[in-house]
Amino acid sequence: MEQETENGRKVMDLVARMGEELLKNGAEIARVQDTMGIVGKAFGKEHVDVYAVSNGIFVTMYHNDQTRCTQVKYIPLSTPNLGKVAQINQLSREICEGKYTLDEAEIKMEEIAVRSGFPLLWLMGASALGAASFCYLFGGSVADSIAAAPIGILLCLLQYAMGRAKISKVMQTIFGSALVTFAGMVLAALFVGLNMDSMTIGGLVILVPGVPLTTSIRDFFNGDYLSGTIRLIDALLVAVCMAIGVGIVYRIFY
Amino acid sequence: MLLTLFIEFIVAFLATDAFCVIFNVPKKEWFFSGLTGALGWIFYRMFSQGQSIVIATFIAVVAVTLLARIFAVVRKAPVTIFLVPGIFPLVPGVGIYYTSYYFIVSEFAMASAKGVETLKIAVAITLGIMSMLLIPQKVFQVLVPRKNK
Repeated sequence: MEQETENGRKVMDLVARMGEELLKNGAEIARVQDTMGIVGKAFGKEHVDVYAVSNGIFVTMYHNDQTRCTQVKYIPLSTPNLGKVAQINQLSREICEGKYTLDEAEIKMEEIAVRSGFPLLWLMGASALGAASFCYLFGGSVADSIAAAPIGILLCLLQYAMGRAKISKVMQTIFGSALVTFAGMVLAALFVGLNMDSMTIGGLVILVPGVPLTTSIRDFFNGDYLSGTIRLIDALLVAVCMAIGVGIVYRIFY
Repeated sequence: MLLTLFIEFIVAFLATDAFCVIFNVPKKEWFFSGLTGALGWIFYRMFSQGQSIVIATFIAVVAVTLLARIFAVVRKAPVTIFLVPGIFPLVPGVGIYYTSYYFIVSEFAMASAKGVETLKIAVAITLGIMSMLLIPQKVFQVLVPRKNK
């Protein structure tokens, strides 16, 4: 009996942990609920009831000795890391194939959870490349694109610093888009012939709420209207904040 | 014309992969993500010549979602990994910029025109993704020879 409860608790923790990491890193609701149910089942818990919304998970697990336990987890919206979603997806596949014992799965899960993303240098490079190539795609010349690269790097550094200082997402987006617009303005003023609009757009694309938008659509499609709405509002808010950032700089300097 | 398309294909590929880094997509999926985004962009360019950009976006999003679903089955990875970076070139960042620009310089007619266009593109993206999600998973599983289970 004691053994049973101990084991149950472990399964519960693992399942809740997997759900939490999936939700935090931009997986859609259906995936979170399915994964939690499947992993519970793989460890012998036939009944796992999960209700997940964009920022919280409620899970109840029925043990074989008639007891049951429940966990409620609050999960604030945060920056997604799609790599973790892929890794947890892989892990749940392997658990179903019976590759891991419960303890091994727990260790594996912790490994995934603590793994950090690409280092700052990579992110800076990616932002530069992203800004430059989007500038080109949206009608910028080669010179514009080259000039857009440092804007991307600046934006990346600003976001990193603000993330460190735990500044709210709303302010991060406003400051970010203001910085991009301002940098575009300065560059266009310094070097004749550069097109301010396409440089700014190149930088702004990095801030565009692509993840919440796509996840929201998929949640709506699966009938998770509440979560779809939460993420849609998240996406709209970011878009409005971007517009505000651009607007402020224009208002002051134009 | 073909050369321009080819160059844009490469640039869109790089742009998509830049987002793969930003969103921590595993390195082994970069090629497929990039391909999704780049092909989506080419569809967008080809159809935005004659059609409205809303229709072009819809067609491109359909292509992106379809590719993302195919790659998800073939590569055994979540659809999100290919869909999110691939959709980025089509998300209306430009629209947001021009809407607020025209709003600030008090050209309200242009601002509302751009604002409505941005919304229409967002709706086109939504419908595009939804229409391809309607295809049942079984259709895609034909692509993969069944070994396990």
